Amino acid sequence: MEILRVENLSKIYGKGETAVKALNNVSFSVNKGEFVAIIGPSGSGKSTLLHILGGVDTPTSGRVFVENTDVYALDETKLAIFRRRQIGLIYQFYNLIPVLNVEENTTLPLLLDGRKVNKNQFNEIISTLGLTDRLNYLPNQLSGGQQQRVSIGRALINNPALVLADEPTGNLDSKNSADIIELLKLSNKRYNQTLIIITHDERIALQADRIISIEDGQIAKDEVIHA
Amino acid sequence: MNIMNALTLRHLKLNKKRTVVTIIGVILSVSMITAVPTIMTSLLSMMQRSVIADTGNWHVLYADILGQNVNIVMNDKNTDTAALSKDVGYAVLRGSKNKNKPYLFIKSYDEQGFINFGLKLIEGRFPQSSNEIVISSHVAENGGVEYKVGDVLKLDIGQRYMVEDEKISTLGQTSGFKEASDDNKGEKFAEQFTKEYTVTGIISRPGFEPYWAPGYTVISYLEKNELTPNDTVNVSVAWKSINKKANEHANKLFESINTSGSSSITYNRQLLRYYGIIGEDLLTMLYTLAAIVTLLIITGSVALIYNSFAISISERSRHLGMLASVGATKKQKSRSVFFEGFVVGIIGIPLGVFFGTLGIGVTFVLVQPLIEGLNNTGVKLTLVTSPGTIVVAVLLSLLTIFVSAYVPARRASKVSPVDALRQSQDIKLTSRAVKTSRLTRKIFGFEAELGLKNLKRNSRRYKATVFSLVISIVLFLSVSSLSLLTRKSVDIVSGGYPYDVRVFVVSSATAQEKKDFYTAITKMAYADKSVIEQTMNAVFTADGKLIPDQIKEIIEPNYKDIEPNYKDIEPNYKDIEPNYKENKSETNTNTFDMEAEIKSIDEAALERYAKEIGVDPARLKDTENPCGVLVNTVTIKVGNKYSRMKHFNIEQGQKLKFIHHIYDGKSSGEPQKPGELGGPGEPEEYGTILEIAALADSTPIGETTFTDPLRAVFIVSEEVYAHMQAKLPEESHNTRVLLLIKSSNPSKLVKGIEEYQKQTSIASVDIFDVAALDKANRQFETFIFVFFYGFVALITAICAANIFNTISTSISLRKREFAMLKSVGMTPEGFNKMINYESLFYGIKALLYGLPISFGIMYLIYRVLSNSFGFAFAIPWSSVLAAVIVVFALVGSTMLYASSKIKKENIIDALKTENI
Repeated sequence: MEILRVENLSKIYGKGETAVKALNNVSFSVNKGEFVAIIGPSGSGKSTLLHILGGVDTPTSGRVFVENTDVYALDETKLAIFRRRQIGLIYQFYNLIPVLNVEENTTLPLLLDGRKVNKNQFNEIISTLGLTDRLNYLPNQLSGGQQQRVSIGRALINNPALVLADEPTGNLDSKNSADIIELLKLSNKRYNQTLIIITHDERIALQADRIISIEDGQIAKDEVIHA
Repeated sequence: MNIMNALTLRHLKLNKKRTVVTIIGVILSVSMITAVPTIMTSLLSMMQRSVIADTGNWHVLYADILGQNVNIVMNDKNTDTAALSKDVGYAVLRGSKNKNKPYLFIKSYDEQGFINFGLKLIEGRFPQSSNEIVISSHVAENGGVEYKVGDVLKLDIGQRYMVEDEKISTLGQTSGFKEASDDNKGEKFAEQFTKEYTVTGIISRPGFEPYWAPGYTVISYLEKNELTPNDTVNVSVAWKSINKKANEHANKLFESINTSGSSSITYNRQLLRYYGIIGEDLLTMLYTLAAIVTLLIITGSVALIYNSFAISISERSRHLGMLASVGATKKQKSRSVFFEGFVVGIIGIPLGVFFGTLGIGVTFVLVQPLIEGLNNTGVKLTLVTSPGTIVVAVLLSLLTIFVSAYVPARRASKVSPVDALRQSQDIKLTSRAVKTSRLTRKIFGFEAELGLKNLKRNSRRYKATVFSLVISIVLFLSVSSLSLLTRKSVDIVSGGYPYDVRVFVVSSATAQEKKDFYTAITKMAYADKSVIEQTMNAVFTADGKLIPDQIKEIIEPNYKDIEPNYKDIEPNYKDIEPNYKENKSETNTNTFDMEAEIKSIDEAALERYAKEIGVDPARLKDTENPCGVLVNTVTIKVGNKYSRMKHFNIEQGQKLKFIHHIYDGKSSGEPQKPGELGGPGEPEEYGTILEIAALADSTPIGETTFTDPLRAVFIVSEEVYAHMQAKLPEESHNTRVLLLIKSSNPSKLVKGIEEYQKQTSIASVDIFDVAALDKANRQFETFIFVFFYGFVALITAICAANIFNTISTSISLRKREFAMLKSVGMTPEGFNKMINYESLFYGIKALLYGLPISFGIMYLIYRVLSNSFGFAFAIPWSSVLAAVIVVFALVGSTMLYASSKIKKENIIDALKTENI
C-alpha cells in the first residue's frame, strides 16, 4: 500500500544567477512499513527533501501526497495539524522543549492535539526507550542519547504515517548510535511503522529495506536491498 | 580601539532595536533625573523672586547706622548693592476715609533704594531730590484722597507714640492704629517739622506695607551727600554670595559699625529661608522630597538599564566565552560591559539633560495660567537651571548606569570558555522551577501551561518585567488616589459655603451706611439672590424627646467625651456658685445643651423665604409674640458620610427658651476666653423666648453642606431680632452684618462691587469669593498633578521600554523553540494562544502584586489626609480599571509585536539558527 507519493518535487533557493537548485524534479513513492534510507554527500538536498516530506519546508514546485492528502494544498493550520498527527520528525539536534519534562516532551503532539494519552502505548514506548525512571527530568538533565530517545518517543507517540529522521545519530557516540537505530528498527518491525532516515553511515543504510541516493538534487540511485 | 570594545560596539549595532530602546530609556531617566533639581531650583527661584517683589531685594538691613559708617558697608567685599533709606515720619492725611489709616508715612530712598525695593511706578517718575515725593495709589483707592502728579503737599511731619505705664514708645508701621480715647489710652501724634513736597509720581502699594499699617506709604529722595556723619540712616544690602558665611560676615561687620550702640541688624528672614540660611526645615523638606522622587526614578531606571545589560551579556556569553578561550582576562570581559554602559551613557546623558531641561521649560510655560492667581506679585515660574544642577543630574545618571552595569559586568567576568558552548541560562533549569499546577492545563489548556512554564524558566527576566509593571501600577494608582482624595477635600472645603460671595464692611461705618451699601449691591447685575444677615448666639436646653435617635447617637459620645472634664471642673464651680450643680445636672441623657444661632435676614429676603416655606411674613415680624423659623433639615456627618436628616422632632408652635450668657461686656452664647474683656467673671444670664413658626429645609441662601449637630439655626425677621436684642445689654449687641449672595457670575459681581465701593464712603470691604477660592484651589491642584502625572507617565515609559526589551529578547531567544513546536504540529492559533496566555500571566502577576500594594498605599494616603479632612476612604476605581487595561495592553502589544515576525519565519531557517 502506497503511503507516500512525491511528484516532480523541486526546491530552488535564491533567485536569478545566485539561484541554487536543492531539489530537481524528484519523484518517488514509499509503501507502508517500508524502511528507507536516504544517502548522499552534504549539500545534495537530502535534508531539504526530508523537511518537505515532513511539511516543515515548502517546495518551489511539485506535490507531496501522504495517505493521499496533498500536503501543500493545506492551509497553515491544517498543515500544522497534519504534522502533529501524521508525521514524526527526529532531528540531529533533538530539538526538545527545554521547559517540558520527558513525559511532556514525548506526548507533545498529543497535548497540542488536546487528546488523551493512551497509557499502555505510552508506557510501552517509554520502557522500550529506557526512559521509565526519567519521566520528570528536563532535557538539560539528560545525556545526548537520552534526549534523542525522547525525540524518538515524541515521533512515535502518535502512530504517525511517516517517521522522518534527519541524521538521528549524527551527534551521538557509536554505542548510543547503535541503540537508537535498534529502537527505530524495532518500531518499524513491531508497529509496521514507515521510516525514512537520512544518514551518512553506510552501516545504518545497509540495515534499511531500500536506499535512495541523492546527488545534486536528483535521485541518482534507488535500490531495494531487503525485500 | 581595542578588540573588546570593537566587538561590543559591533554587538550593539547588531542589536539595533534593543540598543535604541535602551538609549531611549536612558534619555527618559536622565531627563527625569535632570527635571527634579531643575524644578527645585526654578521653584526656589520663583519663591525668592516673589519675596523680593514683596520685601525688596535685600538680605540684611543695618538700621540706624551713623552716616560716617555708611561707606564701610557699601565697600564691603560681599556687598552687591546697598540701598539707603530713612523713615522720615508720619503726617496726618486729611480726609482719609479709612478710619484705621489716618496717616501718610514718609520714607526716603536713595537711587539704589528705588531699584532694590521693587517699587512699581504707575505714572510720573521717581523723586530726584529730597523735596520730591512719590505717592502710593492706595491713598486714593483706599483712603479716598486724590493727589495728582505735580501737586505740592505741605506736610506736618512727626511721630506716633503711646504712653503706657509712664513709658513713651514710638510706633511704626507694624503697629496698627490705636484710636485715642477719653481715658487717655491709645496713640498720640507729635508734630516735629513741616516740609513741602512735590508729587512726581504714583506707585502701586508697596508689598512691604502691612495691610494693617496706619499710614499710606509715600517716598521721597535721600541725598547721600547731604548726610552728616552723625545722621542715622538704614542700609539694606543685597549680598554677592548668599550663604552661611555671609551671615557670619554680616554679623561681624555690624559689630564694627555699631559705634553709636543704637544701630540694629535685621535679616530678610523670608528671603533667606529660600536660600536655606535660616529655617532650614523648608529646604530640608524640599530636599527630602526630591531625594525620594529621585530614588524612585533611579530604581525604575536601574531596573531597565540593568536588564538591558543583562540581556546583552547572556546573548554575548558565547562571544565572551570564545574570547576567554583565546585569553581575554576577567577585567577585559567586565570592562566590555562598562564600555557598553559608557556608549549608552555618552549618547543618552547629554540628550537626556537637554530634553529634561527643555521639557520642564515647556511645562512651565504651559502651566503658567494655572498658577497666575496664586501670588499677586506677578512673579512667573520660569526655567532656572545652573551648572550645578546639570552636574548633579549627570553624576546621578552616571551612578545609575554604573549601578546597572555592575552586576552584569561581574557576571561577564565569570563567563568561561565552557559556558560558551552550553546554553548557560537553561543549564540551571530544574523541573521544580517550571512546575505548574495541573489545573492550569485543565482550565486553560496546554498552550497556556506552556506559556506559564516559559515565564517561569527565566525567573530573573520574569521578575524584572513584573517589577517594572508593579512600579508603574503602584505609582499611577497612588497619584490617582492622592488626586481623588485632595479633590474630595477641596470639594468639602468649598462646598461648605451655601453662597457664592460674602461681603463684609470692615471699616467703621454707621448702620445706615452699611445698609445702603448692601442694599445697593443686592440690586446689582449677577446678584441673583442675596441675604443681609446678622447673628446672635445663645444656648438652649433641648429635651431628649426633641432629638431624633439618629442625632442622639452622634452627639451622645460628645457628651461622654467631655464628661470627665465636667467632673474636674465641678467642685470649683460648686464652691463659687451653689446653684450651678442644679443647672448642670440636666446634662444627662434626657436633655441636651444646644447652641443656637439666631439670624436676622433683611426684609426682601424674609418675604421670599417666608413664601418658600409657606408662612405669613407678617407673623414673623410680630414682636408681641416673637417667632422664628428653624432650619430643620440639615446635613450631618455620620461616621465618615454626610447625610441629610431631620435635626429635631419638633412641631411648629412650640416655644423655646434661649439663654444668653453676657460676660460683663460683649455677648456670646459661648463663654469667652478668660482674660478677654472683663476677665473670667461670672456671666449674667438673659432669657428670650422664640416660638417656632415653621420648619425649613434650607437656610435663606441655600443648603449648607454640613452642620454641627449641637448647633441649631433659627431665622428671624429684623424686627424680632431687634426686639430680642433689646433685652440684652447694649454693649453685647452684635453689629457684624454680612451680605451673602448667590451669583451666576461671581467674578463679574465682585468687580461690580469693587467699582461701586469706590464711589461710596465705605473705605474697606472684605469680599470673599467662594468660586474664586475654589478655582484657585483647583488650579493649584491641577498644577501639582501635572507634575505628578507627568512623573508617572515618564516612569511608565521607562518601564515600558524595559518590558519591551525583556519580552522581545525572550521571544527572539526562543525563536528556535517556536520552530520546534511548530514542527511537531503547533498551529498558528495555538501559537497565538500561548503568546496571549503568556501576556495574561504577566499582567495577572503584576496586578496581583501591584494592586494590593497600591491599595495599601492609598489607605496610608487616606489616613494621612483624613486627619485634616473627614471623608470616607475611596478607591479611584476608574484609575484601577485604566491601570488594568494599560498593563494588559502594554504586555499584549509587546508580545504580539515580538512574536509577529517569528510567526512568519520558516521552521527550518529558525531551527538552523545557532543557539545563542
